[in-house]
Amino acid sequence: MGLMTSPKAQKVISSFVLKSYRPLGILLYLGAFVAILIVSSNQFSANTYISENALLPGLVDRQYKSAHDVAGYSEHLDTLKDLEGGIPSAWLEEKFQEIGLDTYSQNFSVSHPFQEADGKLTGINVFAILRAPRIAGTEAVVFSVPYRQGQTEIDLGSTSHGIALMFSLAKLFIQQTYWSKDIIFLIVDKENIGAQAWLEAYHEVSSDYIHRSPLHGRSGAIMAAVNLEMPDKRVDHLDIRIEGLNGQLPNLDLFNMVVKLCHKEGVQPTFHGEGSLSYHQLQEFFGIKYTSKTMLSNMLRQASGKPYGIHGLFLRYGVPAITLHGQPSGSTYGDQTYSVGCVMEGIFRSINNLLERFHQSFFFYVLPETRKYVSIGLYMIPVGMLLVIPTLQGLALWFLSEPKNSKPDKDGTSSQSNDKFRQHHYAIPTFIGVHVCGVLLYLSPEFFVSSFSSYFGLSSGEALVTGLAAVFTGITLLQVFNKSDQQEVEDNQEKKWMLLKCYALVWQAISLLALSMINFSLAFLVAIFTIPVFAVCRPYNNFIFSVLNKLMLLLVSPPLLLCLLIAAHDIIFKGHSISLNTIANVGSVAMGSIPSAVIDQYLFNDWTFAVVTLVLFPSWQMFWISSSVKGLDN
Amino acid sequence: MASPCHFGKCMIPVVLLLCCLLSMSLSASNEENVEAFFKSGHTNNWAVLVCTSRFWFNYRHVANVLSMYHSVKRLGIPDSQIILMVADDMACNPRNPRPAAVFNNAHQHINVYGDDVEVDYRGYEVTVENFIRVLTGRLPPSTPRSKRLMTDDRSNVLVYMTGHGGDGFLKFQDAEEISSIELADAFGQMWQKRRYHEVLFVIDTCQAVSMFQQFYSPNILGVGSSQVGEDSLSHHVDSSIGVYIIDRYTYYALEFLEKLSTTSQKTIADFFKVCPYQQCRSHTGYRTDLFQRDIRNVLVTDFFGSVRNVEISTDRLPLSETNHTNDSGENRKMEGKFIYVDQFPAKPKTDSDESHKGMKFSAKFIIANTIFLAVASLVFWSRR
Amino acid sequence: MAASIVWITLLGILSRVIILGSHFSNVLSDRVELSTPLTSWKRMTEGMFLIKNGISPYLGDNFHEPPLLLYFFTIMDNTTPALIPLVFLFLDLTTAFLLYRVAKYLLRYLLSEQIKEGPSYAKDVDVLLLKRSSLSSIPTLVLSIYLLNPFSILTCSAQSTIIITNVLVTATFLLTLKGQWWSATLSLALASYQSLYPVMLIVPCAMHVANLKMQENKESISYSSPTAVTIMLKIALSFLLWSVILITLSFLMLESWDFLQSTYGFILSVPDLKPNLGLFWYYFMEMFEHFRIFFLWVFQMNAFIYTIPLTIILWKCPSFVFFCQLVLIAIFKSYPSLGDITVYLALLPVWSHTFHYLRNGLVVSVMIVISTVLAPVLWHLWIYAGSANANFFFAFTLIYNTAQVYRHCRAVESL
Repeated sequence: MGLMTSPKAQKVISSFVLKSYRPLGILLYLGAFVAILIVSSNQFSANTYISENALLPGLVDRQYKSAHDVAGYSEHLDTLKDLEGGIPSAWLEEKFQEIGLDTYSQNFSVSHPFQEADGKLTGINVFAILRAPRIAGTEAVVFSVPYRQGQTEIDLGSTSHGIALMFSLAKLFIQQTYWSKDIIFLIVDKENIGAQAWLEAYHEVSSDYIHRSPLHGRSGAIMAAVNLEMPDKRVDHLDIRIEGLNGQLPNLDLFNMVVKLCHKEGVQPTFHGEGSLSYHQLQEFFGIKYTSKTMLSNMLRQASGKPYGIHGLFLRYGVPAITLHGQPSGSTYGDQTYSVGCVMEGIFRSINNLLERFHQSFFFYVLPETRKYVSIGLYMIPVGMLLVIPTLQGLALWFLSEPKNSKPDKDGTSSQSNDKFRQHHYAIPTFIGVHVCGVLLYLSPEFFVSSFSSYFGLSSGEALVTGLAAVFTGITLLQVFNKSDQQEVEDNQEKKWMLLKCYALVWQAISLLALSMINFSLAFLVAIFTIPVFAVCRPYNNFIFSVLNKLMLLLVSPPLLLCLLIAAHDIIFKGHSISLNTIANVGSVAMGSIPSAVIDQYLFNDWTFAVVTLVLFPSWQMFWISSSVKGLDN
Repeated sequence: MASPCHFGKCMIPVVLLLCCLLSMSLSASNEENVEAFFKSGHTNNWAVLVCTSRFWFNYRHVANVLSMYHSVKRLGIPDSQIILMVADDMACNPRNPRPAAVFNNAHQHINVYGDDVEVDYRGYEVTVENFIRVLTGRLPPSTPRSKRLMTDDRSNVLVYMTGHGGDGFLKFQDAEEISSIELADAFGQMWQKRRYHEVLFVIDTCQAVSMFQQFYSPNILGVGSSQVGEDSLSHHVDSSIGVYIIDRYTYYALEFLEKLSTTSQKTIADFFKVCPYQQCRSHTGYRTDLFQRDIRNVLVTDFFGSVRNVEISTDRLPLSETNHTNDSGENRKMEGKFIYVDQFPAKPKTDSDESHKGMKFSAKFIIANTIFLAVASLVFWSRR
Repeated sequence: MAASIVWITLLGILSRVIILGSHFSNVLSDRVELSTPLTSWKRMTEGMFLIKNGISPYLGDNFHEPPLLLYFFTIMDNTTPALIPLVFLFLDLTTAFLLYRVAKYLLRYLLSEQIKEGPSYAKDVDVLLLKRSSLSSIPTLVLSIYLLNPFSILTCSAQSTIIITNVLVTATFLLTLKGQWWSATLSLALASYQSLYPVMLIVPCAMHVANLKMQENKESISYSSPTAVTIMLKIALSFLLWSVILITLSFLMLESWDFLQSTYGFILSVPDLKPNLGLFWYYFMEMFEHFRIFFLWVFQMNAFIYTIPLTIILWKCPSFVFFCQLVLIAIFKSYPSLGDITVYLALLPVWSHTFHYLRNGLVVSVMIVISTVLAPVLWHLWIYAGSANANFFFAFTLIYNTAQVYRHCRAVESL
């Protein structure tokens, strides 16, 4: 307290900040890079461990004896797929009933404003409930498998083998007496939409866009969900997918448990395609070569805010959930069905041991490897370092924008009292204005689709992108051509952009801090790209500087930032080289991802579009405006 | 009316005491015989066996305490003199693949939760308060005899505890804990109230030794499964049940006790050697400084067994004829008619229902309110 | 100036009407930052429903507003339910304009004091002196801060009944400045009748009125002079009288004393530990039950005790004591919300001339902004996502209160 109040100390602080914010900013930026590499390394990331005592994974004998019946189910399902148009719900229900489970189905359809006129999406979820024999069914665990057909099957991989394995396991499970939770076997149609429809019905939440029939059978609160995607009996490894909607993650215990059981049953678990590293790999440069790549992949996926498998939607309802995605192996021999079955049995027996919800372990983490984790305490260090940069600069600009202590006149004229205040009357309306722009942008998609697509004959996706682009350029150009008419004192003009930028910097730091709480990866990636640009941007009178400045700012504007992130992903993980082809590809991916973000917002309550329009865009716009202030003399 | 069991329980000490008195009054030379007769100084044995943790993954603690119960019972302490506190019902846990049974061994030889287990305090009754009340005898008058520790100054008491502990505390259930000081004070109070002759305190938890370091009352032997700073470990898993099934210290202690018979001459010194480090993976600790006798002369059965020395007296003992008939209860007449008390406020009568719809305020209130509003507005506006 | 006032008012009304009219209002009224168990509109509707069905709303644990307020809204609801949001809007506007008048009166008063004591000031304090020019600019600033403050906009849109306390407290301030002590005590009694804590304001109120009286009589200022003692006694008695009348009226309305336990008992004994921006809930949630009574005393004493040192130190300027009390109430009351800080935030510019050396405006405002941005985020993570926990949320309510305390200390120090 004393440090902050005494005028002398304040002078010291202000002179320190003014002197050091530039070199310190550069140091911190480089430091953040190094820090994120270091925390991903073998040396700093900790080994995972099972924190929940109750889980006891792998202690119990496996009772799944053989997977002989799986192939039969799988083949039958494949023949049915060829015959019927949609999901063979009758057959699936019949199989569940044969096993002796309470079987139900649920119809759903989707209609949202951005739909193409022809396609009204409908589907049927089939689910069956195994009632725990010796306890009231107040808790449940979900075993889900998505049903895939046609193009989605080609794109995302088949799952018929997974459905077959589910039947086989259901047969085993129903014979057992030790279940303390009901088990819900769920076959989801139409991927995320079906899962959302089922979850909404289960939790009795209504949605304006997904219409669904009510569930006729229910169980208790869902304690966990495991989603299995198994393409074939020959599985090279099980890829464990955790990233959910809005970057939410399941409890780390669930992940650790699955990894442990996979190791026990001899199935290789992988995370973003990378298996558990050997000792030698971990020793080589502290394993950075491998771990950093896996962690970056994890972060990019989390930053997208899109669920990586249908488990991602369960997370939204506070249900820890995970997807096991079997990666087909190229070989023509071998059969891992039995091992995967044992893994699934182990998972369910462990979850069955749970006494309360998963809560012991971390919810905030990134993973550099299957048996390593970086917790919030570590990964917030680089974020913190990045956020200190705008804070320091904001403070420096605050000191700089302070009015000089001019000698007061004897009679105390009015000009003086105006001088005493900073130029808040310019900065605050601008601040409010850009946020109003953000709100308008956020609300605009529906408007564009209804007007644009009918007038110009565009598809809804195209109309959306065109409309957003139009508004974006409109708002942006407004500032470029905005000439300040008033002849103000130059000093004031100088103060004006400084104060506005100070506002912008501080607001950016606050909003990114808030964002990092929800979706660390998104906040970090946005920060690492935008902070250096925002730090150097300012109004220039020199034309070349001014244009360069503008170009740099444009490069980190939300739409181009999206392209940058996609490009980074492609170059690092798909090994694309930088060429025209790549750029075109990135453009088309970005074009496609914008409408999908908007639609996801309507259907699943995806926040990405809202974050971009309500937080990132106004923040960027403030910098844009502050560096467009005219009438300076450098 | 006392049940036969209780009758027996009361009578044994009485008979013994009378024998003792008789023989003493008859000839002083018999004193040595008498001393030999009660050579450990106690006339009865009690056991308090406590498992303090619940939840399925703590199966082993329940198994610990139940196995200990069986050993003690086999060595002769009757159910009426065992207070068994078990915090959770593992046998009926829905996760148990062997319903209604608790095993303490992977081969599932013995179901320690068989037909003859009398649990005195179970589930949420196992609290720190209840435990201390049992030890100190401060129980509400309505407490049944089976839940009381009715010891006297000639009683040897075995106290066995298992659960999750730390340095100076033992967790009860998931909500509370008993500290070593509370425990020491409980024993102190027992001593002052002459509720024991000697105590053997056995505890199997992490940092077990810390629990009896604060004891200050005499005649207590303490033994714990681990030193301060050490964990006590479990022994093995039964993979068909899927949980750890027993703790190391208890496992080896049971192995030792199993070889004993009621006439065994093994001493406490032998018992303290149980479970060396290579078996236990923790250093067992014991405390003898409060104890008067040399532990090499103290039989294990002084605590784990029961006094069975009974001599038959040929003399006729005058037992007073007490009048047990008490008719007052039966003769009580039912007076008047019983009716149920109203559970809820009586419903307003149907005819006045309409009047209750919409609020109703008394005329007094409305008038007073109007006056107030008038005054208030007058005050507000008068000066303008 | 007049034009800008009109524009600001229109903007303030517009923003409130837009939010009040949208479905957003419902979401807001559920926010813990805006509605406390005491001021929540939902609970008021519950109370209205109960009393309409002939059940005393004070028997349950749901309703904690005083009876006369309930009476007022029940009448409203029976006759013109559509007007209720407008009542809130109207009250909020009234507060704004009362604040405008308060600022005007206060500045005039401060200026006259300054002129009177002018010769006694040191030479280089010019920067700390009030300028005549600010007499017109600051009241407008006060008005605009209140009307455009997002906190007050949101509070009004959430229909939190703290709005009523705010209007009464502001009225008390204005009437005190005018020296109309009968009406001042009436509105103070009404304010305390609703939320109890304003009781503390009786001290600065009495002091200020005594001050005015003594100036009128050209006496030197001494609170032990007969004039001062009589007027202060009169004020205390009139306040008591009004309070007794209000309580009696409430009794007549309900014909039972239940409401006392359910309103003032509820405020004082803090049985509802639903998280809010205050400091009570977390401590009382974490502590052992047997310490509860002790800490209840400590916490509640804390809320009231600062009246004594403040009056001793700042006896010369009771109006500032009044302001300080408002801040203290906002920090230390048992169920605080964002609506509590709006009044004193708006009044802050009145003393701006003394804040010349107050440099940490940025730090403090950033702290408050951070906490108000992050509190809902962490609330979401705690309650909905289930990934964070109470500590996260509490950390930011702590920052929020620290910032307030910090700013307040600086303000007192700089005076």
